[in-house]
Amino acid sequence: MSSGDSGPSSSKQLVQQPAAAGRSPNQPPLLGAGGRKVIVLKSGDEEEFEVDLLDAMQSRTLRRAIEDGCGDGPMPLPNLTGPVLAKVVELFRRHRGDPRWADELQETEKEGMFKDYAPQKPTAEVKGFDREFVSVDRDALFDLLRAANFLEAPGLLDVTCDAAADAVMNMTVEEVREYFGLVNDYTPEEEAALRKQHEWAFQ
Amino acid sequence: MLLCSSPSPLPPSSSLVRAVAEEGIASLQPRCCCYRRCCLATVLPSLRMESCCLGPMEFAAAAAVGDAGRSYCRWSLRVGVFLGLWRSWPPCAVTPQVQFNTYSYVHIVMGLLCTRVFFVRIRDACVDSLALCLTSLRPVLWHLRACPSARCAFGVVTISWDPRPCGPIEGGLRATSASVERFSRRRGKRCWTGPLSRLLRSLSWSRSRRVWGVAFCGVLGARLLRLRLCVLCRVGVALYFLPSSCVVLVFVVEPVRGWVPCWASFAKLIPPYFLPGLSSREPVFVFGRSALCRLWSAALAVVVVQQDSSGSRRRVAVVAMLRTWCVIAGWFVPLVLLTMESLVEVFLVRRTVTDKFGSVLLVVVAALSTACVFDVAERVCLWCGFHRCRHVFLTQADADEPTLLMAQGLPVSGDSTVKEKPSFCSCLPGVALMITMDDGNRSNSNRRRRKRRRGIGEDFRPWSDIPLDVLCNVMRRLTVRDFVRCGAVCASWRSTMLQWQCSPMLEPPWAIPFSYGDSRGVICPPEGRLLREPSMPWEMSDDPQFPVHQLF
Repeated sequence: MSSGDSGPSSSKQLVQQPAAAGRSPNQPPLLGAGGRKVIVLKSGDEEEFEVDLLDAMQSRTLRRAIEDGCGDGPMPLPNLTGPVLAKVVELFRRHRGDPRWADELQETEKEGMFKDYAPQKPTAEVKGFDREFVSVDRDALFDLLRAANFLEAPGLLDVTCDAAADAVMNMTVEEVREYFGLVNDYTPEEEAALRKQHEWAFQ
Repeated sequence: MLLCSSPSPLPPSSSLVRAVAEEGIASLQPRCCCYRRCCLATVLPSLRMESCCLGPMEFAAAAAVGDAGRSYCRWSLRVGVFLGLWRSWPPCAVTPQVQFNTYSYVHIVMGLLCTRVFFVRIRDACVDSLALCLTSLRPVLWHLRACPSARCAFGVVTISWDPRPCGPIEGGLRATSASVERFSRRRGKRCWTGPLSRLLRSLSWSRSRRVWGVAFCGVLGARLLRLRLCVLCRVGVALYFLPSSCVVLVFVVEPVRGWVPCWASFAKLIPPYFLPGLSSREPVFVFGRSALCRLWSAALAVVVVQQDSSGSRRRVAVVAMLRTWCVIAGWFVPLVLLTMESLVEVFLVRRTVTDKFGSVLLVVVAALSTACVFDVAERVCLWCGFHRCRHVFLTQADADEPTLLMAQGLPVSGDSTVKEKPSFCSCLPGVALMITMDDGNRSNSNRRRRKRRRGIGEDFRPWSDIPLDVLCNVMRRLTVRDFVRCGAVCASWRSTMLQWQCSPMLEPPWAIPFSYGDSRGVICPPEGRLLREPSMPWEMSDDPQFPVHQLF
């Protein structure tokens, strides 16, 4: 899954390095360790993360922002906390070349920027990472879901929604309520009617 | 519906069969539920219309579709079956030169409803058109068509549905194999120790006379085929070795009764010693996201033949012989099945799968609806028949990791996964066939997870403020059953479903949308449930934007 020369080590560095602050807004995007463009994401609690530009393009939100020219300074993402953003950035890095979005990227490509960026099938390693990624507790999963929704990243959304669906699967209605902390706002009659209508599903 | 190519009028000559057909029609009115009636109403006229290519057996078949529970039909039907069998036995028209799935005569054992088994004999039809024909008899069989890896649109099919998709299939598999293992260790003595004896006690049916009778039949059949037969789970296994070829025959003689709770106890009782590589956490066999677990099916006869591409005459002869043998085996399995009383649903398909090495995996599959599957050895060949997960794995004796031969129905290209060309000779001894679906421990792990989270406890944030499109996105990944349940969780979720028009996973095998005229619905194959019963026969809906949300 490693694409090109920015291997795992360099990208890890990227993630962990706090970005150098105070660049002039007109400066072109920074060049990262592998000679690639990087952008800086700033979480709600003022943590900064450097992301490979191409990785950040996985998120439609970020892509729009970059195309609008906001990619020069640190990009504020007030909805996301530092730990969540760290996880997300890591996932972006691992999902490099994921066909779910790389195809989309190839279509929108204009300047040959992504030409070394062929879609690849997710390897077992990536799948393993995905599993690890969502093996978090419910609240963290919720945060990730919100982040995925905000960032509109298909890969992230897939992974997190799958996890949520897995969590719900085979639960009874009461368990779902308990799990999600929801209040039953049906009247007993309504609920009985619903259950009767699809009796087989509640057995 | 394309049934055959050559019009060769075969009027329902046998008055017996005709009577059966009429009885079927007569008996269906009071008893049958809506869809059966529709089905018969659909099938019979179509059969008559196209009776140019259908023999009397088809009328019997159609009659049985309509006739759900009448036992008096059984014997006459069976007579009909044997008549049909007799008339075309031996399968002389079969020659090795013919492509296996384009035989001029194809015989399919098919029990459409409980306790009914009969043959459908169709002249000049290929398996695929038969699959199409037969699966259209029952909507719950439609999933059997979905097989994109097959060359033609309507492929083959191995397994049927799990009625309650939350049990441990792998446990079941392990248990089955464990009992086979112990049985073989004891050299045929019918005694089990330890957990298995407990298990036997838990199976109330296991000592009934009928079971032993069935077992006897099975043993007899096993002797004939030199099978090793396990009485408990009634898995017969035969391994035939030839210098360059190997034939494996696996079949379940009778469906295991009462297995729904039993497999769970199997799984608990028997440590997962078997197939360590197939632990439920492994992603390779994950079947989409659904927890389709238990095998609901299967009597299987699998024949694996190697065809040498160098084509020395002797080997070709061997292969030809094997193919003929396969045909006979394919006949034998139905024969054995016919002697049983309690066949539920039989579906027999023969097809070839040619892998990239020129070998032919020839698969003869008959599926019983409540049986369970089988395994033999630790070296496993996996053949997943479902369209979502179609991998062929071969494990060589000396290799640790299974080699992926076929993924998603396509041979894996040589450079990517398969490091070195495996020779069938070295990997087939000990080959077994296994059909696996989702990980069986999912429910357990779910439970564990749930408990842990409950322990976390009080100060969690409720998910009630989850963004609606995220919620919709999650729901889109649920099976129909879970989807319906989620609709009952709270009113806001339900209104979200309706408002956002989100629908559960609707691609086969999880659900089959259909529409006919004004009536629309979804069939959930695990139980054959219709979310809305049609008043007319079904057609598959081609509409990808099928408005399922309107049905809830």
